[in-house]
Amino acid sequence: MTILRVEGISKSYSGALALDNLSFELQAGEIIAMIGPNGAGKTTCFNILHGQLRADSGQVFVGDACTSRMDTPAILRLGVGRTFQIAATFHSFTVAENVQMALLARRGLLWNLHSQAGDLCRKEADQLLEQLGMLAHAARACSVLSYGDLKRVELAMALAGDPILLLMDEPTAGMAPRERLQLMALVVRLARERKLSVLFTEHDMDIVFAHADRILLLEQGRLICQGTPAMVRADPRAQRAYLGDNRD
Amino acid sequence: MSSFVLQFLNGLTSASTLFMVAAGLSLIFGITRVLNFAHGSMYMLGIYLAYSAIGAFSVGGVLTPVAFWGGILCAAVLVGMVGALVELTVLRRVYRSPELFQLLATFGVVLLTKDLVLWFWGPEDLLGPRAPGLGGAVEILGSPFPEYDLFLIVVGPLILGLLWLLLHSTRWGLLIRAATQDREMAAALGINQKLLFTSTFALGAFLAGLGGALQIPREPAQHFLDFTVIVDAFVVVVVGGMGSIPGAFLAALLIGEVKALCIGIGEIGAFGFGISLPKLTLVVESLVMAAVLIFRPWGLMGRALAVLPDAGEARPLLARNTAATRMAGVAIVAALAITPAFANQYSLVLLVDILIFALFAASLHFLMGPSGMASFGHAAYFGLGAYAAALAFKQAGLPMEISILVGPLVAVLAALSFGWFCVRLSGVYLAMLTLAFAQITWSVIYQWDGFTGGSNGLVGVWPAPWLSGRISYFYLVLLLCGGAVLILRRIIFSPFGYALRACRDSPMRAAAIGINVSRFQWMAFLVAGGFAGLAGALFAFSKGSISPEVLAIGQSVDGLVMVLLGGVQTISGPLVGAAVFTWLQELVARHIDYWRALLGMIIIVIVVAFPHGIVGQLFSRNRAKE
Ligand SMILES: Nc1ncnc2c1ncn2[C@@H]1O[C@H](COP(=O)(O)OP(=O)(O)O)[C@@H](O)[C@H]1O
Ligand SMILES: [Mg+2]
Repeated sequence: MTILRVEGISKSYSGALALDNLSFELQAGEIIAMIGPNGAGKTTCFNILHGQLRADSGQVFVGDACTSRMDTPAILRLGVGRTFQIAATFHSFTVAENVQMALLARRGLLWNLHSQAGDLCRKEADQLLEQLGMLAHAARACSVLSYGDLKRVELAMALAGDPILLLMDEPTAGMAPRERLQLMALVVRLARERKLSVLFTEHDMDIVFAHADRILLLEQGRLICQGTPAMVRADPRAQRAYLGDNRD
Repeated sequence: MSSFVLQFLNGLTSASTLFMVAAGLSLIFGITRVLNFAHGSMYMLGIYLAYSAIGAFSVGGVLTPVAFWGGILCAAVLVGMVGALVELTVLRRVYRSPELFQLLATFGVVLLTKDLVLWFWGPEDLLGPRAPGLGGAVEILGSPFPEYDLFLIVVGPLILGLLWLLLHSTRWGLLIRAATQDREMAAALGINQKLLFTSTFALGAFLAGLGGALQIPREPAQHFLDFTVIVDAFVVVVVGGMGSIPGAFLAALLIGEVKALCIGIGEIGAFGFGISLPKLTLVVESLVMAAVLIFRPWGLMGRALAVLPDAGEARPLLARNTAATRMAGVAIVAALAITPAFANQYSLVLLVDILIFALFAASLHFLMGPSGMASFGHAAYFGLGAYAAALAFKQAGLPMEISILVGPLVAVLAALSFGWFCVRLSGVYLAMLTLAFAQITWSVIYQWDGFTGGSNGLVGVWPAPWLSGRISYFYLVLLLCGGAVLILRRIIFSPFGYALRACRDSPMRAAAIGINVSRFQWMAFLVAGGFAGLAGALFAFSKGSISPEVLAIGQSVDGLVMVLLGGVQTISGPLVGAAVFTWLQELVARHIDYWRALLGMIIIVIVVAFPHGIVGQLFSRNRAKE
């Protein structure tokens, strides 16, 4: 079953083309890596998929619904969650409160002027944190966490929305190498458990080749090759564009 | 026809002055990212200093061209030096502090300057001499037009040209432009930031001082010019785009002409009402600004502010009630409840004031703290509440008990309509729009003599007989204000309040988990406006009379000072701030004429001693201990 279908989306910023007629598909349960040098248009693509940006042309389908004209809340309701390239959390909240907010928002419980927010959805939040190995930090302020831990909190918030598709923009950027492998292994395990499809961007090729079912290679807004890790590894365009000396 | 030409020229004249003031403000903001509330004070200082300098230079009372122009230049240079002094002694120490704290520092300077001017020059208007050689008028299309105004028309573009040269053909200008575009980059290039900042401040203050000094033949020096001018300058800078000098020029022309047009059109009749446009220039001006901001959120020539890397404005977690705080709260309420038993009339009046302003400050804090939206025009809701209650009572003849409810109701309606526009913006732009709406409200109330009593206000707004005693009214206020503050506190800890904090902490993340950010922020305006309106209604009946002062900019500033002094990061801070401020005002104002200067000094000392805010200071110390 196709979860996500992208049909020829283009986007330009004041004349400069950031995405050029990009098309691809993502099947249920697939884990796909989108790779490409900085400025290739990966973040732009994510922003369009999640309703933060509108494409100039082309269409996006989540399941059967066309999301090209939808705003973020509507896309969330279709089950698309995301994490950001630079972790975004609510820094005056505790770790648990961050996740509780995501749960409350998902259930439409925020228009409530009476209850104590700190007491709502606490158990579910703890369960999610437990799965991500963050339960010990539940009561800590987000502002004192390490960057890697922040990324985990963000992931917990995205999972709180019960997504069927998770968009992760450079989930391991800014982490120590050991931590990266651990986090990605965790994501993949959770995704398989929850039958979740994942689209992620990543610069660390070890991670990409270890975990991605399929790889999309972007360069200057264009999809220049796609396929299984083995196919991409063998593709001369990919070697020239990305895998050569530009490995970081 | 000729009258329109003359009005057009009048527009150009005021555009020149507006531009000089706004250009300085814009430059300062572009470089230091400090929103300088004291800029209007620099203008006011300019006009007063010019008055004295010209007087001093006129040996034997003879006004020579040298005395006149020398006096004006001397005044402008002195103001430039004051600007440098302010930067060196105060602002230099707060560049790394939270934005609102910098604002508080410039408020301190405003208060201090205001009282210095009052002390040195007295409260009377001072009318300066005419410019020697430019005192006459020329004939334009059959009507006389002052020569001096023609001269001012030329000065504006001249200053624009000089500034352009300065910015584009000197090394200093290059540095300024580099720093405006990218502060970090400029720092990395090893630019001497300190010198750059000080000189920018001096230049900005010089321009404001010059703008003021040049007004001396046209308008008297008055001690409330600081506020009127800063509002105009903010409007121009925001319309033109923060940090853009040509933008400021364009906006000054636009605003100057719009004002002149209002005066030129005069009275218009519509729907059986006579609307006097000249009296409503401020309204029209603010509408222009609102329109520009809605279609071009960064002003005519501004660019989106590069998001500064989070300046480390660490916000503490909100402390939930513990047994100890709950006990303290109960103890305070209990203490208040038994005060009428031994307090005298005077203390009861003061306590009523304190309670009312505590609610006002708490409602403003709700916007500024948890919702993260600084409102510079919160007096609009307070004042509308007061006026609506008073009008319901006086004009509609409703009983007092109902009238008190009409206050918050009208304030809520105003908050809904103003807020709808405001939440489309953020940061200083949002703050400016709130200020504009407050000014609109003020001028409508001020001008609408027949209905609101105009500048005289309304009298005879007394409570119903069963509440007319000091003690019974005190209990009413204690009940309503205390209850309202508790409800506000409850809301802050509710899912709604959490959602507001989420929108403040990270609008991007809030949207990504499905929060409709602007709708929540809009409702925050509703809550804050409603409670401010309740405070206003109670205020009206406690005084028996109200005047447009209740919704003037001074009232908004008082609210800001209360909140910032107490600490925007805590819930109890604004209450403490309101109590201290009101008490100090009452206590000190009775014994010392210049209590504002004292308050200004206190603020400046606090700001310099605790560059991260009082609460921030405690917070970081706690963290260091951890
Ligand atoms: N807000 C923006 N305004 C203008 N250009 C942008 C903006 N965001 C991204 N770009 C440009 O679009 C291109 C793609 O950027 P991005 O999607 O961030 O790439 P990636 O995430 O692959 O590094 C880059 O050339 C970048 O400079
Ligand atoms: Mg990116």
